Amino acid sequence: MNVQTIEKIELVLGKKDRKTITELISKPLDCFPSKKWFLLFSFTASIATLGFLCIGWTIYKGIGVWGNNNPVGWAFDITNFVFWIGIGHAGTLISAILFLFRQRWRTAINRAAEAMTIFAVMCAGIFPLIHVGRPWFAYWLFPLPNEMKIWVNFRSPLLWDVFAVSTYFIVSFLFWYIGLIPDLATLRDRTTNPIKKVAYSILSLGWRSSQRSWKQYETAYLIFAAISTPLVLSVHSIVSFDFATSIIPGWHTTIFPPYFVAGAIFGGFAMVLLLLVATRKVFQWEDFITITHLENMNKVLLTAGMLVGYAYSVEFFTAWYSANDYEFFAFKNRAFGPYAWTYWTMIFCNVLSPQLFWFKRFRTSIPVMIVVAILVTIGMWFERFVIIVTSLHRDFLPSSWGMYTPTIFDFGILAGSLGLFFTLYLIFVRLLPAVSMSEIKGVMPGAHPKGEVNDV
Amino acid sequence: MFKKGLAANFTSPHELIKAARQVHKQGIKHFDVFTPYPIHGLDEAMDIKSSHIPWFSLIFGLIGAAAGLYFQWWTSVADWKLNIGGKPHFALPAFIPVTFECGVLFAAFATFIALFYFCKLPKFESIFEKDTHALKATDDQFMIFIEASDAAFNEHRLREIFNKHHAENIRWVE
Repeated sequence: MNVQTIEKIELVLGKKDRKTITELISKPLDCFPSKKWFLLFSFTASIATLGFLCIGWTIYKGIGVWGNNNPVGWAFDITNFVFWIGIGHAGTLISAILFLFRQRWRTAINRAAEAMTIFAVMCAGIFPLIHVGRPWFAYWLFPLPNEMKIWVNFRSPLLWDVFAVSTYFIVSFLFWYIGLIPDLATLRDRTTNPIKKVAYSILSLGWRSSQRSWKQYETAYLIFAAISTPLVLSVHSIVSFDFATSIIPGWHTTIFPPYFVAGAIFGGFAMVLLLLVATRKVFQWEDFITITHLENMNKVLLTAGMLVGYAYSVEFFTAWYSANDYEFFAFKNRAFGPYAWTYWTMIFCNVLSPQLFWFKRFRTSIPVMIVVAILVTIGMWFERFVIIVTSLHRDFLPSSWGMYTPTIFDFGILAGSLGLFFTLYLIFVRLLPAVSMSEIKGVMPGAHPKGEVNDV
Repeated sequence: MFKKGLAANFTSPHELIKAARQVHKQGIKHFDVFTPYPIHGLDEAMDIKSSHIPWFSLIFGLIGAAAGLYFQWWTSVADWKLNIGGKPHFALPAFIPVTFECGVLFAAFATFIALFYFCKLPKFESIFEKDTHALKATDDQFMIFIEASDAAFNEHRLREIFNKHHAENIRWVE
């Protein structure tokens, strides 16, 4: 058989053997956290606590402490919700879609990205919960038999969201856990600490890395990738239905599902990039989270940035071409109305800043990618703000126009969710291997006697 | 699962596959290979059949989707009709998202449970626990284990195969 190989990329640098890989990856789990870690942890945990205080105050006083008011009933809360759900999507893209496309460079980054997905969905889940105003009735969102005898409204996109997000969380968690099992077994077999031994034994469920089990494992992993792929596309499509099925100008557009999915991948990749650049530096993992990995991610960022840029322009074009006054006004108002600065921040961060990545010099420069990733994260937050707030604040009747100003509690809860996210990530890198050992061993040179057929 | 048998460690996946193929050719059924990562081609050398997990995923995915759709119909049409904005009680297009999510959720749970069922996990005791060489099979070495009760078990012949392929630490594990 004639096998064509395309430019072979070294995924693990520096002629390492398998033992070194195990040791390098489990090193952060063996030693006591450094002073820097504690400093960082206390910083992020304090911000998270601040967020929880703001949430507590919101629950005590009611959501009147936020800036939301007629006509802007959705503001920071839903912006943050969509922002976090979107960030989560990059993890599933890396773990599932890149797996189906046989992109073997994903092995070094998928564990951290999947963990990020889970933490991002946790952060996202907070916002609808507190936005309902009386979170102790949040169980009304689920179709449970109750004394009022009525059921939830399955014809509402908000309910689809409940199903989509909870399914997404459960499936991502199971997928992540399946990926962890072989590594937990490795940790169990090498640890000498009796407490850790018990913990790892329980978590690894007695996995013995037998080939007969690997066969089942690989099949199950493939199926998880195959069902996660349509799932992740469905989740952000359903999130976009929250807007697209309404009649508000600026929301009522058919482009929303693909546009939201592209935006989610874009914002999420920026966050993965930020986390990995820091993680590889701190733990000295430059040899398997290589510059090639980061460059590939920057290429994805560039592509996704162009996709959202295209969506912005198509939206504008369609608004004009539809000859619908309200629709076109909504877009003119976005670009030149009172919130124009948010629109242009979004354009600058999301469309212009990734253009740097056309040049290899910038794609492979760590400082440049950190700056661009931060800009993209900010830009993607503003994208959701622009969609939500500018569409609501001026819709049909000028008599019902208004302005939205966030309060300190809005900012506090946003900062708190960032704090919570980074706190969870900091705990994660200390408790579980942030790079998949078994997958890295499988992409090392000479790992497979038959050679890699689909080696890209 | 495994009781008593002969084990040998290998350091190279090339030698491992050759040895595994030889062991399989001896007609031995009760043996297994332990590797830190799944090696391509090893399942063919050992003649392992494809997994049945996809059937479970498919069937439970379909059951989940059907159950989701049925539940939406039952709550919106059969149990308690509510007129919301004049929308039809049975609004199929509006029921598709939840139907799809239920299908995915059921398929995911079925795959997860089937994986552990077919791997015979969780299982918290093993003869390999105390064997220091067996523990290397989750780190950097490869191990073949052949159960002594197998009908085709022939210690002399197996030791020959192991030695030919530069195995280390050929030993009894029980």
